[in-house]
Amino acid sequence: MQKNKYPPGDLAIWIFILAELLVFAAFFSAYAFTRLKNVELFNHYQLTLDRNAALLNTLALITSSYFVVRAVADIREDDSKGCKRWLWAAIAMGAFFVLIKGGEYAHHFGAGVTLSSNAFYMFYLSLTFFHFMHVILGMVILAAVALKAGRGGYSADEHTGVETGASYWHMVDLVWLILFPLVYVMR
Amino acid sequence: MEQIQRKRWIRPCTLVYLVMIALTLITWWIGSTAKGGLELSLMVLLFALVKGQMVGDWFMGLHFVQGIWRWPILIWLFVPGTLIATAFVLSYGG
Repeated sequence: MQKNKYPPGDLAIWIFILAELLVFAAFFSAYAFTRLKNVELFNHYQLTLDRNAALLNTLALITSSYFVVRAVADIREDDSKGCKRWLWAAIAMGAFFVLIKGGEYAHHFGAGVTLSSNAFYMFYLSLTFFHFMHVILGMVILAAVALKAGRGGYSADEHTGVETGASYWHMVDLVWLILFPLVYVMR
Repeated sequence: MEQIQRKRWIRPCTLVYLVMIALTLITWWIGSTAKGGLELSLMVLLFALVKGQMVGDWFMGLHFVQGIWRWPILIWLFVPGTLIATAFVLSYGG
């Protein structure tokens, strides 16, 4: 099989993705080593999180990523309509994530939780909200790509925009795949 | 030349998706029923790293890339993954 020299999409998005991943890696490591000094506190407050909601969100992001893979596959076969449909399905999954996560935030803020409540909530709120903003940005990017695909703006020969948006969205999924077990499960 | 196309019973990306869903459900089940512990935490972390590599390879398409761009995601998973595992081992007095 012929291998490519560069990853799919615009190379600039990959520089951006690597920079973003570096920030999240620092966040994850800081969480783990701060927990090291506050094990009881982290274990106690972790139990206040809704693991069922986190499961639904994980399934939503994995499914949306899969839909984006199908969108890229369709445009490579010159199927703009199929590409557009898969992208809107992925955006719907993203909206589901935002809805569930928003519900979690409403619950915690309603209970008086803030960034300064304790070290666990500081990490939980800042990490998940930082990721949450990436989900929203990803949805905006996918919507722009879907609209252009709907107008026939991509083809089998030229679909860099689809691959660029897809790569960003997969990064959002990738970060959550580490965040979910680290913050909600590992104890 | 006439090309013979074999019909795949399932797309590779669909298979990867199903494996990721299964690993996620196991992770959730461990979180819901078990009381934690170092071994389970490390197992859950390993599942996450495997899923991350699947996303990099099959969803982002790095499986079909050669050279330095083949490795960033794997390195990204390895470094924080090792740091997280080290912190958890230390938290258990290791």
